[in-house]
This record gives sequence, structure tokens and C-alpha cells, in this order.
Amino acid sequence: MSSAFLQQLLSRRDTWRGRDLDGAVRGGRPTGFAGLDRLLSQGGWPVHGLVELLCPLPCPPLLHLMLPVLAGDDPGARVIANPPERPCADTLARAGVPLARLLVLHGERDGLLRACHEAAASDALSVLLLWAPAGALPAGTLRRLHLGAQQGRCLLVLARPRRVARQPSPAPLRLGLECPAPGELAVTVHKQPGGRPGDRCHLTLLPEHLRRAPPATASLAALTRRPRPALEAPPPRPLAPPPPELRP
Amino acid sequence: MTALWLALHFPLLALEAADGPVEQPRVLVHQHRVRLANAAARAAGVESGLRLATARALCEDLEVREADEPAREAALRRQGQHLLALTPQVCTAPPSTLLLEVGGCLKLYGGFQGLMARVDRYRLHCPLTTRLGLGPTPLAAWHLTDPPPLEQVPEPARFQAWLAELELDRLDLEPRLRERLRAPGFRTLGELYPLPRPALGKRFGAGFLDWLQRLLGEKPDPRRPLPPPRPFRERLDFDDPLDNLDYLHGPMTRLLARLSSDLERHQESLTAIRWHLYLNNGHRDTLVVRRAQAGHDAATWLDLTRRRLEHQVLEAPVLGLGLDGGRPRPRNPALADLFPDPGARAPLASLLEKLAAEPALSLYRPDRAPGHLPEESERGRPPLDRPAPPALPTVTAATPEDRPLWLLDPPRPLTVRDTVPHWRNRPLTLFAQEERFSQPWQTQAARRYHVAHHPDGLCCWVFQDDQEGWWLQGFF
Repeated sequence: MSSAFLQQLLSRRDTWRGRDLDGAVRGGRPTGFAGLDRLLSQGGWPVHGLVELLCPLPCPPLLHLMLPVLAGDDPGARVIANPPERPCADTLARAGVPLARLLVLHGERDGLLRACHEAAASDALSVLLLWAPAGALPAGTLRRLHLGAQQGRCLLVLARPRRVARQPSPAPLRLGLECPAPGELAVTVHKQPGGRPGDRCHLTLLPEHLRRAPPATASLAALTRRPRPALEAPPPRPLAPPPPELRP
Repeated sequence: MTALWLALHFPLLALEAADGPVEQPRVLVHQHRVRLANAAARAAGVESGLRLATARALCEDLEVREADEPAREAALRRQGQHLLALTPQVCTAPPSTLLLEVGGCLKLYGGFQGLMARVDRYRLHCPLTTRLGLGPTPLAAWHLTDPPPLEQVPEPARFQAWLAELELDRLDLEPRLRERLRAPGFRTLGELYPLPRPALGKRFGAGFLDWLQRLLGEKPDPRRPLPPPRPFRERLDFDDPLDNLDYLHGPMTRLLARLSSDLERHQESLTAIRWHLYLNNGHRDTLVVRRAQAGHDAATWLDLTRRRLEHQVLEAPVLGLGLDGGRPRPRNPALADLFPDPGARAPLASLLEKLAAEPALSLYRPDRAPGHLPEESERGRPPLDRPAPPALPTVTAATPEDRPLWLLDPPRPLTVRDTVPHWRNRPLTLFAQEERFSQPWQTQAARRYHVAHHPDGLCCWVFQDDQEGWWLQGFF
């Protein structure tokens, strides 16, 4: 086989490349976590394409994991689609996420998936974070999302429940997430090009003072002044209602 | 810049105003006499002035029309508005002529040849029968019809010579005045040139002298140009009510093409358009289609409208369709990059307007707001708004790590068992440090916030209100 033919084969987008012989990592987006960068064969998140994160839904630490990518200096926009709760704009801004280029998208299942495909393929987005809507996602839909993300040079991160780990998926990279303790995240590789499944690493997401074990529950009596069996009255709510755009 | 006027005559305008030229013979009738006949009717021998009965005898399948002045005027005005794309100086000369000043835009079209090519293209697509006139003054252009093929603008002497050859019978004057002009033996206009002007005025009246001087360009002939219709507002009515939204695409394309050429003419663009669907039950549905940036191309507007229509439910068949252009703004095209960055991203605006056009999706830009309580300290901005102003100065002294990444709005109540708040039936482990947030003064109560650990591996932000109830506010 001639070298030119080999080069041509290697440059095809659908060629599945393993690790290079010398073990050198090839350009991925740094994840912001040294342990995770070592775990991933590309030295970071893939530049574009579909990544599946299998996590116990809803998984609040997942956004922490993606914060460095959201805060990166890529000129494209960032979209958070179908989040389980409201991401706090103030905290995101302090973490360096450019709010002017951040969008939050909600919608019903089919319209949401169609909009996500269109957004990922539009070449205007750098990162799209999608919490999978309820119901089964057929492989064809996932493949379309993957191809759309490749076409639009977008990193599409799809959060799915852990029970789909046994189902096949066209995503080149699938990682399992677990929260063993508050502020910590265990990442398990289910599938990745140039790597073996089963590799694990532990990440620390929160600073020390939020992670260390609080005093024993026994001291709670001091905090809770008198027992209260059930709640009847709603709490005093602020008079100004939240803006209607925030309602999904 | 020398003035140059074009005249466009629509000789059969009164016949063609409604539905354009037709093959079968058709005449316009006034008081039982034929006033105007089209080519097919003239071929059958019908001429103006004949009695209607005679015309019917000459031509069996003669179609007879009565004069419809408003329709004729509207058709003339519509042609004038089309021609505003050529020059801003379009004047109507009733009953059936448009006068265009084109001397000022010769350079724009690359000279006389380019201008005439544009005019020929217009006449090719014009649904009416047209005749062209050319002259240095409006009246001269009106009279000098069907000019020979020309390479460039004729010099003034040549126009004078053409005018001199005009027969007095063909002048646009009252019949009695024409009779008086012919009485001394004059045949052409040129024979009047050498006569002293005051004598002409004394003999044929000051009105004629004024007319002649305006024709020859010795006196100014100011004309009021046709005002462009503002704002754009048009309506199409359907003969058969439409009960399927897919059928609306054709009429919408037509209206958008008109809007687009209207905007092109004025070098303007729009950020929003409004569709009105007039329903059979007397109601009117209005669809607003917005764009992220002002635009004028019909294709994008149509695409956004289709997305908007997908979720529209028709209560009744549609009788009419209206398009309202709203407030246009002057077009200000951005400078294109000479050497664009090969890795540059596509603009976000086109994606935003597509997503915002889908009513089933909700899209917002998270932004900080000057609120006091955690759930008030942010707001969602509509995606098509202008980009957010510079970020507000941070009002709280808390470090970023002390604020959760997820906010629950409204806060969720936690069940309390044995003085320990539970979430998802598992106990929370509370940190001792507390942070107070005063409620707004109306309620006069404080919230005491704590960080708490949940056995599922979550770090939560909870608070206790003054009635000792526990609430979940967010996750770290």
C-alpha cells in the first residue's frame, strides 16, 4: 500500500484512528482537569462530534465538568439545551463563561432534537450541552446528531441515563459518571477511540471547604430550633414574579 | 448633468388595468360608443367612435368594458412604483403616461446604453402594452415617441429637429386650439419656431405660449414626483377560502417579493414583519416574524415564516392574507472582510432567528440582574435582543465558590424528620456556617442559608425561613 493512499485513508473523517504508535496525544480540547486529559486518548475532549456522558440523571456536577470548555476562548456560541434546572448566570459569569454567547434552550422532545441538530450543524456553535429528553433515542437520531456536530465543528455533549450503557451508540466517546462523594466525580471510560474501556479516574470539582465533611448531624439541634412535622403554608415569596422567559 | 426624460405611455391602460393584455377582442365603451379597442378588435375593423351595436356586428365575440377610473389610476400608480427602482423622479401624467427623469442616473447604469437595457428589460416584463418616448423636457418626451435605436444621448439640436417635424395634429392640445393653429397654414411645429414669441402669445393665447416654452425647454416645467408608499402594507384576497396552510406559501412568496423590491428601492431593511390571516369567521390571526438583524431578502423571511406557520392551527379557512412591513430602517451594510479567517464561525444571528421563529421552543440568554434574593439575581433576556450591556458589578462579597451552579426557582420544600431536613427521602448533612439574606421589606423575614451534603453525592444549598421550614435553593 503506497504512502499516499495511506495518507488519503487516514485523512478521511470516518476512519477510526487509535492511539499513535509513540503514544503521543493528538489535539483535543483540554478538559481543564489534568486527570481527565490523561484518561482521554486525544488529550482532551474531541474537537467536534458527539460525546455521551452516562450519569445518574439529573446530574448537577456535570455542568461543573463542562465549565472549563464553556469558558474556553472559542469564538462560537455555547448552548445549554434541556437542562434539568436553571443554571445560575452569576456563577457561570464568575467562572469565565461569556454570557453574551450563552443560550439556554428548552422544548418538547422532537422539536428540541431537531433544533439541537440544526444548531450543532450551523457552524455557529462551539459547545452544545444537551440533556437527553425522556424516551428512547434511536441510533439514527444519535448518528444524525454526531454527523451534524462534525459538520458544524461543534462539541455536542449528550447527558444520558446510566441504564443505556449497554445499548450501542454511534458516539465515539462514551464516559460514565458517578458521584461517590459531594464535590467528587468518578469518570469511567465505556468507549473511546484508541483506548480500552474500564479506565477510571477521580476528579475533584469543588474547593476544599465545600467538600470536607461537615460536623456530625448531632449538632443540628442547634440549627433547627423546634421540630416541624410538615409544611402547610408556602414560604414568603418575593412579590416580583420571575421573568416569563425563564419558564420552560 | 443635462436633463433627460423618458415617457412611458400605456395606450391600452384602461383596457388592461385589471388583467393585462388579452388575445380576444375587447373594447372600452362610453355612452354606447367605442372609446378604445385593443389590437384584436381593431383587426376586426372596430375603431374608436363606432357605435356599440356596429362594433358588435363587426365582431361577434367582442368583450365590452366600462371605464373604471380608480382601477386605471391604481394600475398607473403601481407601474410608477415599480419604476421607482429605476429613478426617484417618476411623475404620473394622466390619463395613461408616466414621465421619468433619468438624466441624473445615467452614470449609475453605466451610460445611456445601460439605462436603455434596464428600460427594455422592464418593458419586456411589464404586463401592459407600452410605448417609449424620449426628450429633453417632460412634454418633449411625451411627444417624441418610438425613438430610433440610439448609441448615446442625442444632442439638443437633434431633439429640436425631431420636435420641428411634429405635426400639429399629433400635439397634445385642445382640438379648437389645433384648428386655430392650422388656420394660417401651419402644418408642423417647426414652422412656429421662427415666429416672435410675443406675437404667438397674442394670437394663440398665453396658455399656448407657456406650453410651447415648456415643450422647448425655455421655461422650467416642475413636476411632482410619485411618493413611495410608506410603510409597506399589502393585502391579497382569495376567491376560494384556503383551508390548508401549505397553500399560503405561494401568496406569501408573492407578497414578500413585493416587500423585498420595495425595500431594495429605498435601501432599507426590516427587523420584523407581521402577517395577518383574515379568517372566514371574521377573526384575524396575526403572526409576527422577527429577525436578529435587520434584513431585506425574501428567502430568509419566507423560511422564518414557514417555521412560524408549522405550529399555527387554523380555526377557519383563510379569506385574505395581509403583510405589514412595520418600521423600516436605513440599510447599513457591514464591511466584508477582504481576507476572511478560514476558521471563522458562521454568525450566530441566522441560527438565533431560526430557533426564535419556532414557537414550540423557548430560548433565552441568561443574564445577571440587580436582584437581592438568589433567584432574583438573574433574568432571561430574549434571544433576539441586542447583546447584553457590560456585566454589572458584583454586589455580593461572596467568593464564586460560595454560590451554587444550579438555582431552583422557586425553591423546593424539604421534608423534615427528627429535625433533619430530607431530600428524596435521604437526610442532608448541614454545614454550620450560615449566611443571611433579608427578604424584601414587605415580608420582613430573613433566610438563613446553609451548605449541605446529600448522600447521593450532591452538594446542596438550602435555607431555613422564619417559620422553621427548610427549602432547597440550589446545587453546587
